[in-house]
Amino acid sequence: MNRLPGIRRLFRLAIPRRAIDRDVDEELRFHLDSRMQELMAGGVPRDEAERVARREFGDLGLAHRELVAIGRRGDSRRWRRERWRDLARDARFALRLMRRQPGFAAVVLITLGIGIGASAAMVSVTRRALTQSVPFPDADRLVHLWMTRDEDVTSRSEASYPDLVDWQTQSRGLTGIEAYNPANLTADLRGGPIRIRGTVVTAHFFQLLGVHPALGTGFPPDSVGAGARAVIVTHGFWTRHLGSDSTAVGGSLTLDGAVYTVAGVLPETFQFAPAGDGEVWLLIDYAAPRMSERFNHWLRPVARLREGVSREAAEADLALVVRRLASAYPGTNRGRGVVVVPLRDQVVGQVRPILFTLLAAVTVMLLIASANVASLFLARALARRPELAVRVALGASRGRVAGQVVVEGLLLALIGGVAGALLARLGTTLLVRAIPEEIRSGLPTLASGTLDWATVAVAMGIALLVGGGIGLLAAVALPFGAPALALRGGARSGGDRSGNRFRDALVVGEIALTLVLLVGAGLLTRSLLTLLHTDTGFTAERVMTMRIALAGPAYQRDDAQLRFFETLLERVRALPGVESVGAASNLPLNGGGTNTLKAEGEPEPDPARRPEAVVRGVAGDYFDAMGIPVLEGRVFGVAERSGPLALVVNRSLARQLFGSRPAAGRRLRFYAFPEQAWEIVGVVGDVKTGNLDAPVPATVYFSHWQRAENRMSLAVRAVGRPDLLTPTIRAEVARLDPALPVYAVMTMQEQITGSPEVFFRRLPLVLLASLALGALVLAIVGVYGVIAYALTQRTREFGVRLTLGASPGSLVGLLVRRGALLGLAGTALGLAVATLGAHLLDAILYGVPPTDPLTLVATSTLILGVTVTASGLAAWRATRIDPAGAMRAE
Amino acid sequence: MTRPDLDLLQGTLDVLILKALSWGPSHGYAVAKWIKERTEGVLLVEDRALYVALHRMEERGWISAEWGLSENNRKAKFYLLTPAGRRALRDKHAAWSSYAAAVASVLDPS
Repeated sequence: MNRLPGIRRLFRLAIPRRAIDRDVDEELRFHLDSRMQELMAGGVPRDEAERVARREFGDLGLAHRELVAIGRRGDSRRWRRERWRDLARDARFALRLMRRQPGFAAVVLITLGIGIGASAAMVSVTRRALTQSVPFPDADRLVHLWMTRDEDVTSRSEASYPDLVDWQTQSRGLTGIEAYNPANLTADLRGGPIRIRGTVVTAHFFQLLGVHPALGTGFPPDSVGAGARAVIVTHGFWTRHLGSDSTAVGGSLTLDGAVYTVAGVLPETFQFAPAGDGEVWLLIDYAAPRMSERFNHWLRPVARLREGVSREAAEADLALVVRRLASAYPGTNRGRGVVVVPLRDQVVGQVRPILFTLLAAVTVMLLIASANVASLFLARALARRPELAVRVALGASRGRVAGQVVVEGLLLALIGGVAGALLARLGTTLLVRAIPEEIRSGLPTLASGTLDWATVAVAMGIALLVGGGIGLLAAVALPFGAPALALRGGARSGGDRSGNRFRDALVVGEIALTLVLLVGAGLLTRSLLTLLHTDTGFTAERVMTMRIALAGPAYQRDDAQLRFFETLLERVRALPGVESVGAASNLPLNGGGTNTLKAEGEPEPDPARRPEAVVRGVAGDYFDAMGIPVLEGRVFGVAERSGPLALVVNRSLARQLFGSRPAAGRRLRFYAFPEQAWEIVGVVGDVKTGNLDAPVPATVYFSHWQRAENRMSLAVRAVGRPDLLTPTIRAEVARLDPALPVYAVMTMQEQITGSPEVFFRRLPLVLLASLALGALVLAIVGVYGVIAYALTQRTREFGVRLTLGASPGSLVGLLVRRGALLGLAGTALGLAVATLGAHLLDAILYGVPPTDPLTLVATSTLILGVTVTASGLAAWRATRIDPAGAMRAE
Repeated sequence: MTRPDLDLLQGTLDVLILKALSWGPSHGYAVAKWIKERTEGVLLVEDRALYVALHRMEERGWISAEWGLSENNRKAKFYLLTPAGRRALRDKHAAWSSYAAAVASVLDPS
C-alpha cells in the first residue's frame, strides 16, 4: 500500500495523513534533485547547485505546508462526498426493498405513523397547555390569591374588597392587587336580549396583566372609588355583536338593564383563563354596598410578585398581613389564611395530571409501536443474512452493511414521521373537539389546537430517534460472526440465537407495556363507573332543567321576581306531561356561595370554627321534582308565604349541629344578617351540591317567598322523556316576558355526564382505552410473529420429528409453551411497572386504589389469554407440515 | 519577483501549466522547465507557486496525478490533463487571447 499510494488516490480512497506528507516530500525532493543534476551537468559544483535550486524554488517549508493543506482539504471533501453518496445509495436501496415488500412497508408506516402521530399530538397539546396558557408579559410573576380556612387549609375561597385594600397597602411582596369575579349578564342588543358571560374587574386589572385594549383607552384613569359604569368587550363580542364598528367604542351597551360606556376592545388574542370566556369585562361598581362589607367574600384577587421576591416570601409576608387583619376584625376575619398560587398553576393545575398521564400513555404506545417495528425489522434483516454475508464476503465493510440497515430504519421512520405529523394534526383536532365547551373555555389555549411547526418538529425528532434506534438495534443484532456459515445456508438451522433473543425481549417488553396501558384504562373505567354510580342524593331520571335570569328595571323589586317565578311555576305545572316542577338558585353539582351560621341554644362556636353551609333558595315543589327525600319535618309550603322565617337543612348540617337530636323546630342565625332568626322546619337528604367527587357540604335551603331570587334554574320532572318538554316550557317563559333569555337547557343526566369531574376521567379513559386497544393489537401481532417465525425456522426439525412419530399436537404445544412463557415474563414485568407507575393516576382515580387487585387480575388474565391464543393460531400451522417436503426443503 | 505580481499571475500560471500539460503527462520539474524555456525567462515563475497551482488544479479536477518513473528512472509524480482540464484550457486560452488583443490594441494603435 505504501509503495503505491497513487492507486489509492486514483480510486479516491482516503489516504492517511502521513501518506500525504510523504507524497509531498517526495515530489519536492524530485524537483530539487532534478534541478541540481541539471546545474551540476553544466559544471556547477554540488553545494552551489543545491543553493541555486533552493533559491529558485522559494520558501520550501511554506510550500510543503501549503501542499499538505491542499491535499488534506481535498481528502476530507472526498470523504464527505463519499458518505453522502453512500447515504443516497442506501436510501435508494431501501426504497427498492420497500417497493418489493409493500406489505412490510405499509405495516411499519402505519404502526410508526400512529405511534409518532399520537405522541406528537399529545406533546403539542401539552406544550401549549403548559406554556401558552398565561399569555401575559412576565407571566411568571403573576399570582392568584385565595383565602383559606385554618381548619381546612386546602379550602379556597374569595376575599372581600376591604381586605384587598388592606393587603394592597400592607403587603411588601406584591405589587398591585386587583380582583375579578365572573358573572352572567343579560345584554340588550339590537337582535334581542342574550345571556352572556361577563367578568367584573377592579380598575387596574388589565394594567396588572400587562394587557392594553386594541381599541379605546380602557377604563378611565380615575375609576377607583368613582361610580362610573364602563365595560371593555372582547374582540369576539365586538365582531359578533357590535359589527366590528370602531365607533362602538365610546358608545353605550345595556347590561342587566343598566347602561355602560364601552371603554375599549381587547386584543383578539386576549384570554384570562381563570375567569372562563367572559365576553364583557365590567368595571366594578365602587359605590355598591358590598364594596365596604368585610364579611362579603366575593372577589378573586390577582397580583404581581415584586421584582426579586419569591412566591414563598410573598405568601409569608401576606400571611402576616392576614393575621393582623384577623386580630383587628375577629368577627369577619378570624380563622382565615391566604395562599399565593402561581397564575400558571391556577390555570393548568386541574389538567396537568391528565396531560402527564396521557403523555406517559402515548410514550408507552410509541415504545410498543417501535418494539413491533424493530421486531419486524430484525426478522427481515435475519432473513437477508445470506445476502448481507455475500456483500461482506465481496469486500463491503461491516460498517457499510450495518450502515445500510440503519439508513433503512431511518428512512422508514422518516416516512412514518410524515404520516405521524399528518395524524397528529387530525389527533389534536379530535382531542380538542372531545373537550366540552365549558371546560375548553377554562383553558382557551387548548381550543386553538392546530398543527404548528413545533409539532412537526417533535414528530420528525421522534421519528429520527425511533428510526435510528431501530436501525442500530437491528445492525447490532445482525450476526456477522460467520459469513461462510451464512453463505452455506447453515444460518437457518441455528446461527440466529442472538437475533431470536432480541425478538423475545422485544415481545416481552411489548406485552409488559400493553399490560401497563390496560391497567391504566381498567383503573379509569372503574373510577368512572364508581363516579357515575355515586349516590348524588337526587333522582336524575326524567328531570329537565333550564336557567332564567331576571334582569332590568322591571325586576328590580323582590316582589316582581317572586311574582314572575310563582306564575311561571304555576303555568309549567299545568302543562301536560309534567309531573312536578320546582326551581332553585343553583342546581345540584353547580356549587354556590356559603354562609357562616350558628344554632340558637348551642354554645357560641369558636370564630375560626363557625359552621358554614352552602345556601340555596328554592321555589315550588323543588324537593319533589328533584327526588330529594324529606327525612324529618316538612319542606316549604303555603305557610312560608306569610308565616315565620323558615329553613330546610340537609342531613349533614343537622348531624353537624345537633347530632342525633331532632333538628326541626330549632332556630339558626347567620353572621351575615344576625338580626333574623330562622326556624328549621324540615331536614332533607344529602345532595351532591358541589363536585360529584367531593363530599356533600352542609346545606341550607331558603324559600324564595322569604328571600327572593333573581336567577333560578327550573327543575321539571316529566312523565315521559324530559327533553320533549323544552319547547312548551320555553313558550311559557316567552309568554310571560319575551325579552328573557332561557339558557343552560339540559337534562339532569346531562348535568352529571357533562360535569368536569366526569369529563376529566372520561377523556383520559377514552384515550387510554383506545391506546390500550391499539397496543393489544400490536402485541398480538408481535407474539404471532415470533411464534410464526420460530415455526419457519424449525420446519425441518419438525419434519424430522413428525417422521419419527411425533404428533402434530405435541409440536403445537411446544410452540404455544414458548408463547405462554413470553406472555408470563411480559405480564410479570408489566405488573411491576404498573404498580410502580400507578401513582401517576392518583389525581384522577376515584374510589379505586391505584393497585386495585380486580383490575390487575383481570388485565393480566386478558393479556395472558391473548398471548396464548396468538401463539396457538401461529403454531396451528405446524399441524400442516408435510414431513417429506419439509426435509427436502433445505 | 514581488508578491503583487504573483497575484496578477495566478490565472496566468494556471493557463501556462495547462498548456504545458496539453502536450502529454509531465512531472512538475518538466512543467517548470518548459514554461521557463518557452517564455525565455521573461516570466519568472517561482517553483513554489507552480506546485501550489498544480495541486489546486488537481483538487479542482482539471488535472490528475499519478506516480511514475522519470527519464532517469526516478519515481516522480506525473500530472495529466483531464477532460475538464482540457475544457478549462480552451476557455482560458480564448479569454487570454482576447484580453491580450484588447490591451495590445490600446497600447499599439495601428
